[in-house]
Amino acid sequence: MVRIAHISDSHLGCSMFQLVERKEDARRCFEKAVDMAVRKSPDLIIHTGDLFHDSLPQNDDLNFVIRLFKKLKGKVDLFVLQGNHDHPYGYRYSLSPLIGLETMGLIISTGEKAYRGVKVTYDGRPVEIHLLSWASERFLESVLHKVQPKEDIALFFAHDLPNKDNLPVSFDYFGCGHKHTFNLDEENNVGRPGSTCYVRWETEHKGSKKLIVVDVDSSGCEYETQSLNDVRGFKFVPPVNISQMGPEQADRAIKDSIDKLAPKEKSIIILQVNGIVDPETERKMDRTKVLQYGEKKHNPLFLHIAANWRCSVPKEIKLSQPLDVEASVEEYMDFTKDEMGTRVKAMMHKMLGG
Amino acid sequence: MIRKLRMTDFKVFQDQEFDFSPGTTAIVGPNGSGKTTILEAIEFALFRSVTRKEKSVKRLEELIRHSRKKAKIQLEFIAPLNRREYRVIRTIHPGETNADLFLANKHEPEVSGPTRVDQEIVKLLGMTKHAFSALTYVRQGEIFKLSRDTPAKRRSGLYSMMGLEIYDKKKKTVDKELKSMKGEMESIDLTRTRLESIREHLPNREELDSAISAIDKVEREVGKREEFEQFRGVVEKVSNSLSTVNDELSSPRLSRRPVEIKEETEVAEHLKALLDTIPHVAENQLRPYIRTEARSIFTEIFGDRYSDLFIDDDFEVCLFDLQGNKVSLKAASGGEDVCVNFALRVAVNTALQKYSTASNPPGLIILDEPGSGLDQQRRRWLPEAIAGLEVVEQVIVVTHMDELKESTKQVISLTPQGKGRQPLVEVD
Repeated sequence: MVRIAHISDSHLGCSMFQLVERKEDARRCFEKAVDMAVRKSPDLIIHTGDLFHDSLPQNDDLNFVIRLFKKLKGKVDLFVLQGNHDHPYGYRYSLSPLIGLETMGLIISTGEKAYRGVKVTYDGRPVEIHLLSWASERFLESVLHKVQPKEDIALFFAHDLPNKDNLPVSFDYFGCGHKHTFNLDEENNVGRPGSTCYVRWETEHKGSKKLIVVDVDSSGCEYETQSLNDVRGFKFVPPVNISQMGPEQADRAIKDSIDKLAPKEKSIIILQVNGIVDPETERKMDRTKVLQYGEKKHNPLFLHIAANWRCSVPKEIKLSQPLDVEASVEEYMDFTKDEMGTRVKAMMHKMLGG
Repeated sequence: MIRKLRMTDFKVFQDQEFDFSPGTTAIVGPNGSGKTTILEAIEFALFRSVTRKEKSVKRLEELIRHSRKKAKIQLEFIAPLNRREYRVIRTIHPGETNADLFLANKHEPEVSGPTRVDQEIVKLLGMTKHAFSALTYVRQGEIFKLSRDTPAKRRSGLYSMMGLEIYDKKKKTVDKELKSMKGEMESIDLTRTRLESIREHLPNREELDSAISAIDKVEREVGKREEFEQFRGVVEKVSNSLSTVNDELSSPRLSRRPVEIKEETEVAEHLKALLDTIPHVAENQLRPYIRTEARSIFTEIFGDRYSDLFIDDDFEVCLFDLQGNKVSLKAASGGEDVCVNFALRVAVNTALQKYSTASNPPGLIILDEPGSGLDQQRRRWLPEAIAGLEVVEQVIVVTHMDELKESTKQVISLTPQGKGRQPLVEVD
């Protein structure tokens, strides 16, 4: 049996809303995930890519990773894929910071290529491990169908597996990352832990993030998962609808929604505001005051009011095809009950040059 | 949406086929490698015309490959009207063109003949060439016009991007009409005054009649003389002239036409006033949508710094930072500036596609050299901005920037081979 701890997308160096605190948070979240993984005493830890948020990580992040990985050396095998954030645009694998970590012998990755297959013996049995960094979909397909596992236990890890439905059955477990929310398909043995911290709240706030521990045996896989919570408190407030409100009313509605919260100290609060308002309301809403109100009330690390409302069109006239001159003239005249309407309509086509 | 394009003896292409898939496609190549030719072929296949520098090419046979007799374009596309796949085949011969339109899997054409195919395609697309180009085409250098210009220029620039300059064009047509009517009226007036002044100098009908009866009377008294006939001849001539002048003056051209012209002028003036007003209405109607679209593209990339993007009534663009403060675009950084401009420009198209047609949107955006006019520093942001354009079904980027290759799903690279040979085409 081989025990795998699967984590992904730590995005070290990312900082939501450009908050410096979030860089530290990202490191702590990652350390927390690694600690949690190590406590499960796995044979190997796999990180399916996007270790760093940028292909040129800052020294503090790089140093942090080196120190953390050094502690693991000799205790557990560490495999890390290159995600799309780990190298510059254009699949330039040789320019990834992961190359340095590999050279130091801290991790096993795919080197300067997209793919690498390795064979390691765990528990006296050979295990095939296929690693695929971020690559084009076509390359992914070709690797998936070219590689024929020979050993009893074969694992496939890719930064992204967009087509979960037609994976070959010859592998025991497929691990991927890229998307930041947890997903585990125990029937087809495809797992995605999600990111270790919140990177983009817009796409992540509805999902969860977990550590996936897989015990692979020739008879199949057994799974255990454990939630990975961000070290920072996050509060996603149900959206406020300000449709048809005036400016003061809208400000009040947002403040009311802020009043109802009871967040942890120094949380990140995200409040979405929806609805359709008229331009007048939008202009007169006092966003700064509302934000200051919320900050004073709850002392969050950050309060974000996401402007998702839409602005309504002045209702008077609506042209259905504004780029069609004749149709628009007709619509406009009909609407304004133009006295010359019939005469203009009769002659317009000729006058506009047919 | 475009599926496949095949060009035979069309400009530099001897025989070349391109497949287009949904998502973003970059057409990359150095100057003169035939990038724009691909766009021209698409335009020609759909609308039987090719526009260069905003003017239509008059002699279409210029598009035939040198020393060949005819060019052929075959384009497969999905019609927004019914989501069915069609194939249009057009050929260019010196002096004429021909066309057939097929359903993609049929061998018998649905419609044949250039004019009928033109009409059918306009129906399938749900819009004319003008609207189609306003909705799908982002011209070279347009992206950075928006924040650099003065508000007045920005307004007119935005009008033109939104395709509303057609109202100006139409106004000019009406103006021409007005001018010609004015000319006609003047010439009528001139004729009339001339005729009237002639009539003034002629004796009137009674005077002539009495002259004739005077001659008759004298002749009766003194007997027939040849001189009387001469008198009569002169009076008759004068009388005929008078009739001609009178007939002229009461002819339809001089009597009825002025009334018509007056009426038509009235209508034309009114139409002109309408053509002045409606673009403002249309623009007012579309601007909030443009703003919403631009906001979603912009915050997709800079959501960690800004919460909103706003266009006010004076066409001043400003941003709201996460603290709720207004930030003028002038204070934004290079990357943000690029992104705001890009977002706005593309939003014009996506908003138009959603809100300016009665039928389904074409789901296609063509970006022609989006990076032109940008320095190295600012260009860096473009791939990211383009990669974020998932709102549109199909994006075609024409560029000579290699950097943009990485931000698109499909890349068509063109390498010129010199001497008018077909460029080397690589598809990735």
